[in-house]
Amino acid sequence: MSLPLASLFLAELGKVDPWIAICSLATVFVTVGMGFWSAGKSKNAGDFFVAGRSVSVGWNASAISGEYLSAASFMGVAGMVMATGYDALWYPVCYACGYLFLLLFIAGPLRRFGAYTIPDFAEGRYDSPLFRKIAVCFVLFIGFFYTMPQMKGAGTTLAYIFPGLPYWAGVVVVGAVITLNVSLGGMKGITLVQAFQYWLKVFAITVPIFVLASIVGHYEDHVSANKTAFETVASAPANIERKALPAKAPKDEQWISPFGKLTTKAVDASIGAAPTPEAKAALEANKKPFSLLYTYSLIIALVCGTAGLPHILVRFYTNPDGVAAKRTTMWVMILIGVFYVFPPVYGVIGRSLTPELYDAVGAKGTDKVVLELPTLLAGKNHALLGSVLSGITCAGAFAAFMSTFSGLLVSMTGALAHDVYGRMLKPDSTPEQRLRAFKWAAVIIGAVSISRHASRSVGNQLHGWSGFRHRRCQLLPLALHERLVARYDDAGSSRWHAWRRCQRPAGDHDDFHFRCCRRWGEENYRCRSTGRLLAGPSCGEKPRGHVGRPSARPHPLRATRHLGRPPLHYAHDRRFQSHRGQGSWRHPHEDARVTCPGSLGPEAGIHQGARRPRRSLIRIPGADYSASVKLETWKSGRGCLC
Amino acid sequence: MSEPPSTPDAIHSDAFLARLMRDQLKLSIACALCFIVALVALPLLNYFQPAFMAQRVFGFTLSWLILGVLFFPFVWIISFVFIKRSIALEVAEAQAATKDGAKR
Repeated sequence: MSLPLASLFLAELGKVDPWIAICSLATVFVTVGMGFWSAGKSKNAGDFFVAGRSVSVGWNASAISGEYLSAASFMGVAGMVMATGYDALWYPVCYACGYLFLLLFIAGPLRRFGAYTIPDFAEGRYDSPLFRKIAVCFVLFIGFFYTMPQMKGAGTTLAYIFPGLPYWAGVVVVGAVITLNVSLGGMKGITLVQAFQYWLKVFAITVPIFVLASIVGHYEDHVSANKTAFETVASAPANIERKALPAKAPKDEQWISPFGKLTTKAVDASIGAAPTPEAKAALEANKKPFSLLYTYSLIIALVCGTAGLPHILVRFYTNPDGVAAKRTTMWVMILIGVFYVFPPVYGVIGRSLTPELYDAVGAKGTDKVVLELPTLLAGKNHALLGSVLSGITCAGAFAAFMSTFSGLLVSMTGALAHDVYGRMLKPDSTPEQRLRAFKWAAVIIGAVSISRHASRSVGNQLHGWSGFRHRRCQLLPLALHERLVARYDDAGSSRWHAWRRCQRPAGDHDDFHFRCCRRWGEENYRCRSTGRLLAGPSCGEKPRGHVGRPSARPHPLRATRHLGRPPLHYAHDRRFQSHRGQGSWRHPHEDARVTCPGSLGPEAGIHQGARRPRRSLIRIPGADYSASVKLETWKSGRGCLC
Repeated sequence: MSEPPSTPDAIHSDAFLARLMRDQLKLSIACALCFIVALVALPLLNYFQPAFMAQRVFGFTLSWLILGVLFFPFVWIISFVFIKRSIALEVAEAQAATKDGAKR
């Protein structure tokens, strides 16, 4: 496949603008180069799945923003603003502001839970293997569907930049580059690539528009060229040259005011389908209230959809702790907010200067306004400037397809390698095996995505993606529920006390300890990370009974069935048999072998070996609790009995 | 029933913990409400006061200026305030806990 592709490329290269070709190819080569560079840096499974949990706030915020700003944000938002006007502004605003809910309710607790993937979190929180399976299905489902518009965008853009190249060429190039990167560097490598691509995208959207605006007129001037329903004459300054709008374009007063074409689409469709003239008249009379309703449902869908994206949520696991996760979210909001101010500017200027785009549909019409506008400069005696700027916007578009696809690929690969392979198919696999599984899963998913899309001649339009973003709110209620039930979890409450006695290894800031202790028999606790006996005879302390708050009651979902079972019940779990009595075992999430102190007595080996993590992933109330408090306790030396 | 913890590590009583969680939740809800009010109010203003929202401010209509430009800084301010106060709550809690422990 690569040989005909290469020859096609060389044949086409001669025909296109050299600046466009150089910028696009440079983006691809830099991305490949970063993949190879990061291959040497990612070594263990932790690096591949969660980038070693050591990504700083700045890097992670850039990477999340880079991953989030997809082809739809780069090109689709501008196209929608041009096509439908004011109402389309809700898209960029809600995409950026949806992160506020992520920040307020989800980011901190999610990171503190200390899981590897979203399915890990689902299973751990509800103590149910079924939840893991459901979550895996969701992650794969969302991932594959979200890949679709990215691939479609890559195919059509490449075909636009290099006329004559087939649709599948762009799909293959973008898919192959990213699959290579993910399998070489995993999450750690992708972090670097995505952070780079965020800054590339911001550069590619801002620089051309500043240059353009200084030549053809500013944002506000082009907005004011559209007169509202309350004005008799447009108040645009004299320097704005506006081309005549084609018949298909929406009228000025509809375009600039709220409740326009976008929000009446649904009610227009039902008017067309109404059986009787009376029903038609009734719908017609209520058009505006329906538009208001449409606006609200759009807002709800977009804001909730942002907070539930699995490939974004998984990136919070790469932060070192909960406070860093919160700070990261704030910076993400700033970074993507800055970006999202600009695509509407393209839409507005495009309406004035390239109204011919209204006549075509989708990727050939308004959606390509971002790529089309810089070429206008060539007609204004700035031929070179026009070529350079369109080269830059093309590079930005490439970065957009690649970074979002890479994020999706990492989250799908993580779900396959960690949850399906590492938890369901082969629970006793070693970290090395899972690392290999990660690489293979990346190649398989990449190949499946490419082949699915390369063979598609038609796909959904660039902004068709918004429709299914509406449907992926499923993780938001789950995470919110997590917050609410945490307070009524008395089974966890006693473990909270157990945790407080467990000695933290110095330097370990991970909140995994919150759920790392499980009840053993009636009154003994053992910290899973340190292997210490937390209460009971060896600590010389009186065994303690239940210490939940008086008002606490068990939540129905959190049945305490795993308490008080005879240890032998778990001894048949094959993934622990090999570790029985050896004094060490595999930490269920951190891929580290944990060694016990040797003086635990003969029965310790049994209990250790008999542990079954999925029954004992325990959420302690107060998990939304800063590491700082615990660290203070630890530093003051009062955190431990054993 | 709750038995008063008698060990030195008990400086974080349930009361401490519950209060911190409650305060943080209150803060989250207050910030969320602030955001939701703005989100609900803008379409309502557009609906009931179209002439007011259509007046020109720096060339934009008022509603375009709010949604296309001013909304972003508005949520940045909310998130900044949230993070600052949320971290301050935790630090205050840690200090109170240490002081309490030292007294014993």
